[in-house]
Amino acid sequence: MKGDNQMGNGIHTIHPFVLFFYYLCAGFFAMFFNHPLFLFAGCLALIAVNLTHVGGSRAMKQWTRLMISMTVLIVMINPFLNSGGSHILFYFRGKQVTLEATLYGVVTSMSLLIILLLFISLNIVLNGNKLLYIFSRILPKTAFLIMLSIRFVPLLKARLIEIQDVQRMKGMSTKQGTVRQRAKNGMAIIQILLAWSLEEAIETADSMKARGYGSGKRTTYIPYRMTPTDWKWLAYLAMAFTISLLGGLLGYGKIVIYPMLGTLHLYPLDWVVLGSSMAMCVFPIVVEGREQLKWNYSA
Amino acid sequence: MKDVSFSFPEAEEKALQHVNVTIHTGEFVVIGGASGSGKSTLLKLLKKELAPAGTLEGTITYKGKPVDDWEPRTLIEQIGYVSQDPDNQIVMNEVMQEIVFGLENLGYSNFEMRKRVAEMVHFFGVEDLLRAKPSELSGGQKQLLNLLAVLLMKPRVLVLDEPTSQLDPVAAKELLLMLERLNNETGMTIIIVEHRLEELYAMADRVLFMEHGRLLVNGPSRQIIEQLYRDGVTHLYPYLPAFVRLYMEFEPDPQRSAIPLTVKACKQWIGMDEQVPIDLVKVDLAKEHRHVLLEMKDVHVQYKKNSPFILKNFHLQVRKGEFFALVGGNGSGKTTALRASLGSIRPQRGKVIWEGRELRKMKDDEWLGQIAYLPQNPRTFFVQQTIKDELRSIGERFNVQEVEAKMDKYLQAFGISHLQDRHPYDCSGGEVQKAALACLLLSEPSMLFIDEPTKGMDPLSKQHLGELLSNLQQQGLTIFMVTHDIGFAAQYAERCAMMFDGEIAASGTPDELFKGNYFYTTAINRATRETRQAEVLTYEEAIETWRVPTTI
Amino acid sequence: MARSNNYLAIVSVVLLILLVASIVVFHYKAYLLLSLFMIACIMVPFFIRFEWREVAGREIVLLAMLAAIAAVSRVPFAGLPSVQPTSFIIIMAGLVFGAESGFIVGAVAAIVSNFFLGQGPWTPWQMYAWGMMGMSAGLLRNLWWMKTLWGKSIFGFVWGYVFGWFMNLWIIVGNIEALSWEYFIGIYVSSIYFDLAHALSNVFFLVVFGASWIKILQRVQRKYGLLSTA
Ligand SMILES: Nc1ncnc2c1ncn2[C@@H]1O[C@H](COP(=O)(O)OP(=O)(O)OP(=O)(O)O)[C@@H](O)[C@H]1O
Ligand SMILES: Nc1ncnc2c1ncn2[C@@H]1O[C@H](COP(=O)(O)OP(=O)(O)OP(=O)(O)O)[C@@H](O)[C@H]1O
Ligand SMILES: [Mg+2]
Ligand SMILES: [Mg+2]
Repeated sequence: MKGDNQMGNGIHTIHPFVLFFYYLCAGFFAMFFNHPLFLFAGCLALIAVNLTHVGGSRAMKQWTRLMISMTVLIVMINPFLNSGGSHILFYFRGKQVTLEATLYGVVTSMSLLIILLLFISLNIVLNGNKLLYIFSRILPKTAFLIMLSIRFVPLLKARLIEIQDVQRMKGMSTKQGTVRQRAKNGMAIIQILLAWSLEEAIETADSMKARGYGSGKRTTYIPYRMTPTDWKWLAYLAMAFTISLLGGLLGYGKIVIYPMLGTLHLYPLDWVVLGSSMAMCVFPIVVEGREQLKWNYSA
Repeated sequence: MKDVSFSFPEAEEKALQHVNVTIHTGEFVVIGGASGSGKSTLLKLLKKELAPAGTLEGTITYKGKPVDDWEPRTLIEQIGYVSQDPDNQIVMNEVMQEIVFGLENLGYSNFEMRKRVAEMVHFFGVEDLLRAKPSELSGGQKQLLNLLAVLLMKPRVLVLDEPTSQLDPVAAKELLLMLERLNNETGMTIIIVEHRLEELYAMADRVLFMEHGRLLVNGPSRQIIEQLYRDGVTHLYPYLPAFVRLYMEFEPDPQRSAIPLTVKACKQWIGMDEQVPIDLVKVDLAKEHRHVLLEMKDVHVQYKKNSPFILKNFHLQVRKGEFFALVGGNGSGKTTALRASLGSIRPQRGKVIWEGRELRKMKDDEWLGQIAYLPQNPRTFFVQQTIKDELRSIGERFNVQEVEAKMDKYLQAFGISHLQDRHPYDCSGGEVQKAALACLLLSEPSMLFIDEPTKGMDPLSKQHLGELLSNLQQQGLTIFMVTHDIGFAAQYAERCAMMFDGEIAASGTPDELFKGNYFYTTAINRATRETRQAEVLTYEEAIETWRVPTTI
Repeated sequence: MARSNNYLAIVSVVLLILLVASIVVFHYKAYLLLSLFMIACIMVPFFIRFEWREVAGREIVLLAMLAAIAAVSRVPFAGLPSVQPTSFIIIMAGLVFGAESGFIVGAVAAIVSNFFLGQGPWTPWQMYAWGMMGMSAGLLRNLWWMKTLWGKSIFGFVWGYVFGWFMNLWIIVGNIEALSWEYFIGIYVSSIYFDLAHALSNVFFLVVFGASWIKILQRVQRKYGLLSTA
């Protein structure tokens, strides 16, 4: 899991709740508007956002293949598979390929792209503990269970290594033999892990109990404090979000695709909505930028 | 604790029988006894929340009030419990969250938590650990973390079950010193179960010995020692520090008050003398001519790319029929070295040569029968539901002749025949380990790899194990042991190597290696260094080499 | 216990129908948004139940450990990409510890494994699919045919497919508006091999290891009086 190495600068100083709210807003944006320009701008904004993260570009590289393949799949296949719409571009094996379908493919793929980009950023910024901190306020017990489970993973991996060694010495390998044989050995190893770890788990439970878990109401040690700055940022996001929401409900930033493509023309108010939603999407950049400025001036 | 008896559901005999103990506030109590004698059970009963399922007779009182009458919360807070395995006790995946876990459960305010954390963390001087993930800590640090997590709840009584059994001598020493400090500076009552008692006698106000669920002896250290010798309870002698035994046996008329409990005292008793030169036993060259069975040439190992090398140009030779011991601190890379020599991990550089051929070039079935490996944790070994079944199945896999006879032999040798039909996990730590060893020896390998075999073993079974291993060695078995139990290595191993920072810092006979060290040596060695008596590593050596007592 | 099982069954089925219906019927643009919302709505009640129920520390640890094991279970199969052990473990949890525990283990396993592989829009879908796998195993465990090896195998086989199909949905829902049969079929055909492998490995593990796993899990249950079977 991603560690808190770049803790304590830029976006990482913002309170998790604010960050979470940002991702909700941005996710909403991606799935709510369908005007190509809006979504395109959103894509650019989020790519930029990821670039500002430490290790963001590397993370994006990892996902590039999935993103591209998905985009291509939808943009290419969609027009040929469905033939709704009235602006016919050309005929393919006697099937009409319409402008609407093409455009629709583009729009869909872009909104999915934005969502993926959001998650990439989320995995970096709202790393494990912060996410769990948020949930621990809503579903404490579940969050604790997840936390516990995550804590076990490295332990189990180490144990797996140990088991594999021992069993290899007893002639049980997952490297050699038929698929059937290897699958069997593999699961036998998991079985040992199961028996062993469940036994050990009881000791963990005891140590929890010994430290009073389940004895009355639990408080949580709060590592994060909601600072005035956090409140300001929250207000900033909330405002941008409301404007976009209202705009969206009034139909701005949306286009009619089926059955017949409506106009793509942007009215002044469209620009307003676009502006506010962009302000919303680039929130992390704004934060980082402000930080930079501070440094430059103080220096 | 009055006349307490306790028996487990399926168990035929009682795990505890008529135990009577009174422990006063601020005492430092040490409990010793053979594995399976009911120490853990006793401790668990002291910590109400952990009392195992079973039938309890007699009454346990805390501050004159039966534990059941106390409200749970107070007991949780006032009685802290630290157990054997560092890993199992860690709940959270961040150190900070781990240490405040207890406080969270008891609903303390943020303010209180921050205050206590600041204080304790400073007391222990572990600020730098706070950001780490528990999975990245060394065994010693983990155990320290567990202690810290308990101490934050400000317990009056601290109950520890073999807290140092996983730690190397240095880390163990640190932990014990920490305990002593707590006991002295805060008057905290400390009840500790330990097998490695040497340092503890000096710290302890009282020592208890248990046997078959009975409380055998109970009193201040010196009194106990004297009593044991008076009654000639020979089978408990191994639990005493070696130099104490020397005193009792070499001193013409031992005085209770004069019994030396520390190295310092012992030195004074023997009497300083710089003259005696350290006469090193030369390695007899005959053995050096035995052909090399396992060789590691300039091996480099790292677990992840651009993570530090755990092994750096690591050279090693194990000759046929040799008992070789590799010692080193926690995290020094012993297990890694072992795994490399087993071919479990591919070295980035260097060769592992097994009987003149490179291991990675051999097919598995070429060495399968010949190499046996006992891992650091024996539980990884058991697939079957009972120990007997496990033995059988192994017998089948390596088609061993007259399995039954051999099985009984080993079960006897380890004194665990009575457990053969029990599930491996229903036994106490020491018992499981013995069972696993029995299983391993069954396949009669030509070379035996052991990782920390003496972990959580009591001195007696250690002695058995040691003798058994040497016997096997006599019969031509080559043994490669990884351990941080120096006493054991010094006593039974033929050649030792000390690991440091991924390399073999030094290697040679136990004498060459350990004599003259400060920490990486036995207490008795420290005690006998620069004295009128010959410097020795083990009690047995002293018995042989020392001059007649009268000259003292 | 029986009543709560019925409750679970009803809730899960009804809400699933609701989900599908709403997606097909609604004339609302943001289907993906909607679907995620629906899935959340379906799962929250179960988690809430878990929150409210009196849960012993041991039970939580046990569930967490099972989930963690399910999440790391792919490690020894590094060389065998087509083998899918996680589902088997989740089914086992459901069979022995009951519907609710089954659901929790499944859902949490999904979250945990994604914590290390990276969260994505598919996480909620996976949570739901695996959660339901565990839950259904728990719900059906007392039926006579589920007690037979055949029954279990068929159950595992079917789930292998259902899981794959369900996971395809999140792509489809993404552009449901353009849904056409060719498109639909195209996607399902492309995933058929994986689903088959998944189904077969479920069956294989159930046949070879089912019995011994049940024995182990029940032993733990007995020894520590956990999660009483009902
Ligand atoms: N859960 C259990 N069920 C049945 N018997 C048990 C259980 N745990 C321990 N015993 C038995 O009770 C006796 C005392 O066990 P205990 O763990 O207290 O020994 P111990 O002195 O702590 O041993 P060690 O030094 O190896 O930890 C042993 O004979 C053991 O086999
Ligand atoms: N699978 C692994 N992945 C990454 N690092 C590891 C792994 N196994 C061990 N290490 C690291 O390698 C170092 C040496 O570990 P190793 O277990 O060999 O030490 P050790 O001497 O056996 O310690 P101990 O005395 O506690 O058994 C440790 O710092 C450990 O963190
Ligand atoms: Mg014990
Ligand atoms: Mg080791």
